[in-house]
Amino acid sequence: MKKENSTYRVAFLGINGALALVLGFLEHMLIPDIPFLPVGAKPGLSNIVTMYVTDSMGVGGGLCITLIKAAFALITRGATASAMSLCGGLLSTVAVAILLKHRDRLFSFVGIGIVGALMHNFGQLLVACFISGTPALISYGKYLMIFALITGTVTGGMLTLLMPRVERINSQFAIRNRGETG
Amino acid sequence: MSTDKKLTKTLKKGDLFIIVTVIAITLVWFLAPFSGREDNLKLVIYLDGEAVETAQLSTLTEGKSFYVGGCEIYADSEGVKFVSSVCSDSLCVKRGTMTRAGDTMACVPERVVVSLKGGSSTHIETY
Repeated sequence: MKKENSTYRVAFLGINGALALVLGFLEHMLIPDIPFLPVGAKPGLSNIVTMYVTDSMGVGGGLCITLIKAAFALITRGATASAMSLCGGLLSTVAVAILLKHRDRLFSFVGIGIVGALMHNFGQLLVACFISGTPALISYGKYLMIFALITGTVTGGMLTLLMPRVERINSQFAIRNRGETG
Repeated sequence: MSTDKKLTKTLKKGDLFIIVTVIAITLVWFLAPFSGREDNLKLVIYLDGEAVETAQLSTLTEGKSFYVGGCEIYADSEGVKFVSSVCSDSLCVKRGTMTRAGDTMACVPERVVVSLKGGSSTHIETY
């Protein structure tokens, strides 16, 4: 994936950006407000896409997906949601990018997913504290931490299962394209 | 069940470290006595980070409604809750009633924060 041209990169980011938005929208629709879960907490299925793109294109790609998600949140849910999405996404992507450097040796996608979810929640909580001017809100973090542990494991586990299949599709396309151009 | 085996096999040392650390921090956070005494709770409502309403929860035996920002907040001696908010998602209303010291909830779009504090304030007033 390193030597792909800019057209490929734009298309790759476009497809994955759209996928992230659709996943975010789907979880918003499908998952009702379950009483014992922290309010406002979501599984963060679109973080699967962010992790995948960061893994295959580096931190720049992941940040692009974050910007796309924040722009979409700005249009559909307003400035507050956008700021929370952006701050959570930025922290999460940077943390994921750092841990991905040690993937296979120290961490698997599960651990990286947990840290990504944690940083995402932490970033959003920081924005909530900042906008409301109340640092005491950080006490809500203990609920979000448990939730991040679960959702991070789910998203990381999903990516572990999906990755071999996606790579197989990618390599098939690469072979076919080589056949056409060669 | 081959995928299950593969999943557990993929867990690395770093993952276990992360999981254990997160569980440990969460446990400490839940058990830590940050919250102070549970009796004599004080209600503080903030707008834009400034305390605009305060009340001793034990004195609100008949219940009282506060209107701050676009939010209606109801408090009685049992606890406090958001009744309504003009914001679109109304997550604050869904959170329900808070009853414990240290509990905080917010309507972020309206910049309204409701916090319950432990009863240390009387201590300060008596010097």
